[in-house]
Amino acid sequence: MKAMHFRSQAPPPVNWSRRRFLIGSSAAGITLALVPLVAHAAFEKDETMPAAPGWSGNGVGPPRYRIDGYAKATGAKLYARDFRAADMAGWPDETDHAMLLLASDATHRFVGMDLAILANDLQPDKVVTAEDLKASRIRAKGYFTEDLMCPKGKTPDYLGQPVALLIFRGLEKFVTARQILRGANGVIVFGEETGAVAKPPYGANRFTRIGGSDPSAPDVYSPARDGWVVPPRFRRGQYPSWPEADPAATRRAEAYGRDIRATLDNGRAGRVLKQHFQTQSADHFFMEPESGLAWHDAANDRLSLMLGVQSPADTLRAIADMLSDAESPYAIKELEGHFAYFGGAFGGKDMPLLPNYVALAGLFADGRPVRLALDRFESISARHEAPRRDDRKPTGRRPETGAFTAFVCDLSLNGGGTANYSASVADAAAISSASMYYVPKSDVSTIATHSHGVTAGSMRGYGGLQSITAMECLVDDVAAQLNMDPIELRRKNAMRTGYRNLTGAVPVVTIRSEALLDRLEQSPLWSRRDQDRRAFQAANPYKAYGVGVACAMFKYGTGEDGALAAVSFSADGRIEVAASTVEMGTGTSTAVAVRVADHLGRHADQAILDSTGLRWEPLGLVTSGDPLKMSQQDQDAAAANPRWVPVITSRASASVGAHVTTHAVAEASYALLRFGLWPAARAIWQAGDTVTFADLQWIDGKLTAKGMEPLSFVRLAERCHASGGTTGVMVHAFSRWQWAGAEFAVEGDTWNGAIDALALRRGGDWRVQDRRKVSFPPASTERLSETYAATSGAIVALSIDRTNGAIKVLRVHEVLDCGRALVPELVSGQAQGGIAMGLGHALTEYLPLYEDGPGNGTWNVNRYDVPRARDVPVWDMTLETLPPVKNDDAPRGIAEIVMIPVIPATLNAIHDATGKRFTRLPVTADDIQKAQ
Amino acid sequence: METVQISVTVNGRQTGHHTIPAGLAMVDFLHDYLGLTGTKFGCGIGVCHACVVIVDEIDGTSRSMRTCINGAAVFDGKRVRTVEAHAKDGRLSDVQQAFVDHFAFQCGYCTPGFVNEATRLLEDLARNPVSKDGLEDRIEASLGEHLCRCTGYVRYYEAVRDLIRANPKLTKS
Repeated sequence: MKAMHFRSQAPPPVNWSRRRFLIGSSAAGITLALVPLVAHAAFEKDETMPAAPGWSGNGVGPPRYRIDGYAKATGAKLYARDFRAADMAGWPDETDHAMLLLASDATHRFVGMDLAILANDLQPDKVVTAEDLKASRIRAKGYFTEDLMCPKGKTPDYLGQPVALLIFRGLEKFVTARQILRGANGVIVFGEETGAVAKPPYGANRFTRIGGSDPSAPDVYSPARDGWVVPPRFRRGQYPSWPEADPAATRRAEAYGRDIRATLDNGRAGRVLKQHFQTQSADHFFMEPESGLAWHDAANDRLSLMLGVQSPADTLRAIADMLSDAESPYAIKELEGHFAYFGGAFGGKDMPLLPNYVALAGLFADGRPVRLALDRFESISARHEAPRRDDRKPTGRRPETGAFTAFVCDLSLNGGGTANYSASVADAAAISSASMYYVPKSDVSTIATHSHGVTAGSMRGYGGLQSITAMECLVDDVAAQLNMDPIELRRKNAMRTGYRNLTGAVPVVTIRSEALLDRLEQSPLWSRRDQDRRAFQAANPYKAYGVGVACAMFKYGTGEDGALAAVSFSADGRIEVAASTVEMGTGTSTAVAVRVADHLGRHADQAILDSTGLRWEPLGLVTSGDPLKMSQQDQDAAAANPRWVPVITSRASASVGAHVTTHAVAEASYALLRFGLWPAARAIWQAGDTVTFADLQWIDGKLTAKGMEPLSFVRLAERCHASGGTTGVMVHAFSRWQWAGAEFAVEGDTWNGAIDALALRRGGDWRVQDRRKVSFPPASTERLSETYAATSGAIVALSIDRTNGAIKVLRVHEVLDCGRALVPELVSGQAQGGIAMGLGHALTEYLPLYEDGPGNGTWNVNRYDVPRARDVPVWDMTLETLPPVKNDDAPRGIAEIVMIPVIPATLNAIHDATGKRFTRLPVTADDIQKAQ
Repeated sequence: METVQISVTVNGRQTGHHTIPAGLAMVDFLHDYLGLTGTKFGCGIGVCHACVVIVDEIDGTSRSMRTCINGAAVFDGKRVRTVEAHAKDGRLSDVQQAFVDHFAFQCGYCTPGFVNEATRLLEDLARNPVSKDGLEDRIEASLGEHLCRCTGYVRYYEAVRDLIRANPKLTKS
């Protein structure tokens, strides 16, 4: 079967071959090879879309459209779900199909399966169970720890846990059998009631801080200064037992924390406002349900996979871990990953479980390619956002000034049945729980608990969405109590550049909270709110009008961010950029092509996203240890090897695209200018020392300096290639809340770059350049967190129908500090999407936690209420970005921050309209009616 | 296993007879029998509209149909246009170009459904122009059931509005 479709224009065509890069061997010696999935050899030549010229406009300013625009607008074969075995080079043509049977009960013992409802000709060709996995010595380990499938006789660990994998030969049988199984009762047989499986929490931390004499002064005590603390044990299996704290750091946190809480209780900290807030369980609802393709090439002991995930390298490692002890015929020597574009993710495709089952399907399909594609019911039951409870006594404050004096908060996150990122999300919630405000003393505890709910993990907002929402509502309540303007109270307490955050760390970026608040205050939606209210309510006597404001400050990056980039040009001046990431829709591929212009005068002609393909081999990188846990001694020892870096590539998560990925591109572009184009220009100009590198300027796409002849890129490229000069630069960059730096000697020149590895291409050959010195961020920097922070604010205007409680969002205005916007249209597009998703969180999206929730396999968008256009003020959504302080300001990661303030601003608007404070999400018309 | 035979004209090409399972969804038929994967599977229950294609009737009118809840057998004998049909000779259709120019989509998975629905809207307006005052309402009515998780709908809607406004024959005073 040949596919009929257009050739993708993005990423641009590359030499499709068995390109591999060894990213290291697992414990069992399985070689991992990752292959980017791009325009494919199976495409019919006469059915391909010709190249789309001119995406980059004039090549310097904002691009005309996304580099992947044509491919997506024409329905090109791009997404993981689009591919079948016949599309994969070297695979057999026919595709088998697999499905998972998921437990809809996690309080009764799993007895077995009854497939009698399927006629003989519809029976699966293979049934894989926990017993098969055990016999084959296949088990989850490493990142994933829970049972891959529930064994007979055991109660499922969580709702939605697979109990079997069914493989069908041929689409016809699969389609018919799946329809029958989906509507059937009793296929999975349960026995006696046991109650839910109980397990200890996934993690807990305490963030206690006693600030110094002013917001920038050294702390008396803080996590950044003294280290993070964890509880010594959990009482009753779920609650941290802080009073027994030991060692010393934990004991001090307990003592200081107790003191802060006492000052709030006894009034010494000023007036106190308490709040209990609960956020919901929500689904990512990425548009493309998860899927994957696998083929076990037994002759070569190779398992090949085709997936669409945010975490290519780590996903492959997890599968290698799972198979590290596997016995014949399931033992493999090579694991090959092909990675496609994917239709949305929002954190839901960052280390998902499904690829493990895709791999299992491939191994158990008797050498035939097999596809495992979840339907939407299964996808919603596979993983979702965790609910959180947030009890806080935030902010004692001085009534005479409104200045916050102390902040106490206890956060609890229901992590569902698998560990996933629950503990990390809980920590992020805690660290960001003061939102954009400075508090001199704080004590925040957090815990991520286990439950038998469906898998809960990361999602856009990553904990900050929940805790910031609670704080922003509380700040409004404080303002009301003090009879202060909400923006004025925010201004009084706002973080500013140089202030310490809740961990005691000082953000390394400028915090322009005052400018942000000024813009919000000046927005007509805010400044004219009283007139608007009068006018609206006069015209709509049965409706109330409300306006709410909220801000947010949230991190971008993870503290263990690695990025690879390569920028090169051909003799005819075509620039190619490659970056080690995946495209999930945010526009990273366009942004990396645009960032090249920082130093090379124009955009790249081609952008290739390649997580860890063979192209990076020239750097010869090696890594070891855990970048978040290693000691300084271990780091220093490892760094002596000039090929060692703390981490090679990052997942596409935590809003790292603009900041991390394009940073490496910028450094590579700079080095290509300095070591490639500059020598060529100097040779052409013959200007001796009268012109220096610092004099260089790109004007109208040509390089000039001090009145020298402007040189076109093509001319420079020709010269570089003809003279054997540098025509390509490859770099690796690492950030642990600050960039690693290294010194390189290149052709007698010394360069200190914000990178830790460098290779140059001359005459077609890449050669690595050993670093002479390297400065990795201290291991202790890991404690800091959130030193890269973006800020935003939102104003929401809405109406509430007094007769039925119906809420209509009328207008939204957002103000954002994104640093330098690489592609303004991508930034505003992110903001618009974030606003819509925020409104969904505030008003519509909700999943029950347990038996009535998605784990019962009946949830889809007929019940899970994703915002439609009618729920969003499509024609009345505006965005204002703060102009960058400098033209070369670094871009900030904003994919999450654009969403967060919309939620509390909506709740504050409801409060403004009704006088009622709602502290559970979502707020529905029913809730409002009941409160009236 | 119950099977049926169908033949369908897809993007101008007559295809069939195909013997298919009676319950095969049209989206699966497009994907696995014709290799046309541009039509996207989203929810599988006809709510998100990512899977919408255009069905052209004999009388020259057309309608959009969801392919996840309609079996392939429903399309037997019909003429169907999918997203793969819109670009001609390497040139995007006006709707596709408008979406691209406006940065209308991000992940792009819902785009084929929007392309088809907006195309049908423009074709409708060519026969029955909409009043300028009612343009935004008409866009909302036409595209309102299509789910998009990335964009907040703003740029899709603005792209369609600008495209319609640019053609005086599609609106009336």
